[in-house]
Amino acid sequence: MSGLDLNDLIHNPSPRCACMLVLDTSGSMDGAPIAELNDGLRRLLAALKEDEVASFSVELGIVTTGSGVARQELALTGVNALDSLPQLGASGGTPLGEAVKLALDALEVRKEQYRSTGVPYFQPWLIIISDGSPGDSWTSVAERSHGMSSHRKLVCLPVGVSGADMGVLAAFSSKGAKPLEGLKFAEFFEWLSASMGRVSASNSTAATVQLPSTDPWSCA
Amino acid sequence: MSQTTTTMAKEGGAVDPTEQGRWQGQAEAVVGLAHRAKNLPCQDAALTGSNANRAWLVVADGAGSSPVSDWGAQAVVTGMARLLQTLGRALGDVLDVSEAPPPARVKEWALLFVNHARGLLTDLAGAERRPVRDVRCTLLLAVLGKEQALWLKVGDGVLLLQETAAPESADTPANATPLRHFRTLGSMGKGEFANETTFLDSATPDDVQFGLEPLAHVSGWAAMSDGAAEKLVSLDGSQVAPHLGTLMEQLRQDKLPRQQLTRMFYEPAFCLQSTGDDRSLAMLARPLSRVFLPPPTPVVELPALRGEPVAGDGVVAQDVAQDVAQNMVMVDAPVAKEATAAVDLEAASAPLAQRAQNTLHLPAKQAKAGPSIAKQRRSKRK
Repeated sequence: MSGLDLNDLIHNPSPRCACMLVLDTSGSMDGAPIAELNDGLRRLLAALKEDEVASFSVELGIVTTGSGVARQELALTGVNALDSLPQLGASGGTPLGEAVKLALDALEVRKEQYRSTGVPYFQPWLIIISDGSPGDSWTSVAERSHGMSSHRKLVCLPVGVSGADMGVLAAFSSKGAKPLEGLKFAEFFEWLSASMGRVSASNSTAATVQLPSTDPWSCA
Repeated sequence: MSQTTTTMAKEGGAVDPTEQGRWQGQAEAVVGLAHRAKNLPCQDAALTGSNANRAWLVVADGAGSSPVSDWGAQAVVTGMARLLQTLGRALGDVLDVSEAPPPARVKEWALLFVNHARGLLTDLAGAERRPVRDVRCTLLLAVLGKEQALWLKVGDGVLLLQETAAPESADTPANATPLRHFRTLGSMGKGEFANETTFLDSATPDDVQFGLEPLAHVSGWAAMSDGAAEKLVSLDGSQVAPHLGTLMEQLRQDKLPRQQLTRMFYEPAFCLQSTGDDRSLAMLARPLSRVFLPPPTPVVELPALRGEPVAGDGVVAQDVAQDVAQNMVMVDAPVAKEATAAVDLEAASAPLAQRAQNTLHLPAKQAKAGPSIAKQRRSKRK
């Protein structure tokens, strides 16, 4: 029997998993922390590209909080379309509230695009990494993020680097915040890529997908 | 090793198409590559079967997050097939009548089936001392009788039927390739997110999709998990892969071994850009000659129209009835007897035309074939 021709089958769009990374690039992250963060991002992209399912599913976006300004460094882009992620520097203050708002707005726009084009999607992800406390107004956006998280419309994971205000970070998610052990950015992003891989391959499941243990990178 | 389930009423092979059962069945369920990578078993199960009075197909998709949902899926397909066999003629008031029964009766049966499936999971969980969520699964089911088919759906996956269109005109040769098209039943059964669906144990009556389909023009049925539907049906249910039509035709000719489905699911084209989910597919098909095609507008010259003497109403009615029967590609014996006996022709032909209108959009001249014959009979009596 000859093989199936692609024209014999239906080609549905892959379900998408949008993931916004809100990364603290304030002055306190200068030196080893920002270097490890950049290395972790590189590992994240490499691991996702190697995952046969995640590479067609995951879309990454980056918002930074450096120089006292929240900036979208990378719009949500499919992993397969990315050659590399932006190299980040560290300086200035931490407008975390504004950065998270940018990220949430980008995720909402993306979800609407999925709906209007009939593309299926998984719960979007919001990763917040910070080593300090917000230097701007953050409570209302934290409530928004927390609400979406508690209603299972968003997977929100705040990660606190040494010196971070864990109480503030925990306000952004119904699941609280996780402390990063030392500078284990590499381990964290490996965990993140594995988690995204599980989500991308999940079908007909209950509301939650079982994620890998956070023990390799968290000291919680 | 993949876990697959296929059961036929007769052991050892497909149903003999010359038997009254008429339907050929085939089913397969295979572990997805993503599950294989994690050493997980196949959590899908699929099964078809038939006997003298019934044919059925059942598909269940175990929850990915449940540790032994493969047990649940297997128990549900096996248990529901047994129930359908046992019920047999008890479903006659719904499946063996040409006039559709009240919707409430259909709903009653659908909910009974769902309750029974839930009971199977509850019993299994109890026996294994586990919570029911550990064995949870979805359910797709269709049971076919002489005239109607009842279908139901809890959760995602796709149920569809294949209909044969009436000949486009009276000039269409009898051996012309019939037009067939697929029609999906119910909605896709997904929540907002791609991995969300409803399972039997948590389903409310509102979560049960069900319906009754007249079988006059139906030549095929298929039920598949979302893992198989990924490549066989578009997300909105509006398009079906050409390959499914090929499989149906092969099945109709009793040329579809189960291994062919197995190989299909692991073809590179089927695995490309896929979630790697388990895949299951159950199909029923019957030969074209067994499908009633409404006759094209009959070209019948009645003696009365040409001024010739009428031998008697009964004789004319019988001639016309014979013409109606001859215009059918093939009819089941009971229908043919109705047409040739000197009974009320309106009663014989009107329901057939009505059934045709219910299932397909027929050209106006064909839809009126039955009543127009009756009108001719009335005109002769004057």
